[in-house]
Amino acid sequence: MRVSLVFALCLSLLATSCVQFTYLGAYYDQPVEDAAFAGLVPGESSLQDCLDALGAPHVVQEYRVHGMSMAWGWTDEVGWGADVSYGFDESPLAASFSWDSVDRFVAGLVLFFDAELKLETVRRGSLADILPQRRPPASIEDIEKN
Amino acid sequence: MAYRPSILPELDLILCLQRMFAMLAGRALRAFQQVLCFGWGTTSADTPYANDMMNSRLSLLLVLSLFFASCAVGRQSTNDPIDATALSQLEPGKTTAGQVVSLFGGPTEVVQLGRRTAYLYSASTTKSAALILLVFNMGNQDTRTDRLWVFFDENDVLSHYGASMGTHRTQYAMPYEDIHEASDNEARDVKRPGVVEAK
Repeated sequence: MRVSLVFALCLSLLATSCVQFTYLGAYYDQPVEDAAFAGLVPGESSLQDCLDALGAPHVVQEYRVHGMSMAWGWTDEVGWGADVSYGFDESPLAASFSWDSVDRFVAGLVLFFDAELKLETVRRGSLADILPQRRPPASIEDIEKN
Repeated sequence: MAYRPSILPELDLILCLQRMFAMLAGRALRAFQQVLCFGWGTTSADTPYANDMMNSRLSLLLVLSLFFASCAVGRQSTNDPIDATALSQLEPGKTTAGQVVSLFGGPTEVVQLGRRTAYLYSASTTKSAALILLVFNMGNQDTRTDRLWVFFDENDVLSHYGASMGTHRTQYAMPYEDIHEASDNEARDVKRPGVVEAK
């Protein structure tokens, strides 16, 4: 009797889908490995050295008019999630709750190059924090001035 | 920035499947109720309800088998993959912007860098896989991109370029699987013309 009740309870959970647990994975491109990055030296490495070592970036932006910044980003996350929903009898109301531990964290690497296209600075971390703000390109006057 | 993989494109499909299974589960519950009332040990010759019993059991087994086997897969692509064999025709100091456009078509993005310019060619493929057991679900989304950046000097002559080819490495997988294995990537690289040569 007890086994039947447990089985019936499990089956009722399946039927109503009122509780769900989820195991999620999210991948975006390949992480930049430390070994690929290790040989790059600020003040020495050229733009082509960096492109050869790391491949093509995801984002290229103007930096101090004649320089540029290049960014690589990737996501490699696995996590758990849960959903609970409940419909009230004789009422159009329903309540639901969702949660997941997948951090949507986009790791990244940003390289800054000077006007001579030599590597100037390197930043690593969350791409949202290290990526320079997008700005309109420099005006002709600025280009002439610099 | 649009680097936030999401399972939303697959959500409609999953919800649709869940509704279908919920409906079937309702029938299964009724069947289960009948089975509980009649008892598991009854054979077709024992009771006048034998045919109903048999049908109920078959329905129950059918629905349960659906629970354990349900899965969903999805695939999304943006732009055609970049022709990796054409990369060998790029010659810094010689190739012009016009020739690059002849080879690869119109760029996805053009960036001004002072007097220089850079063109981006990109494509992406996303493969999603989900195992749906109603109470416990597993899902995975893998997105890989092809990217080619070509940099031109103020005379529109190619000065540098960098390419990364990844769309062919996209995999249908479950979250517990390692989809970044080097040997797996190498095996896939070999099958795509021009990728091994471009490295």
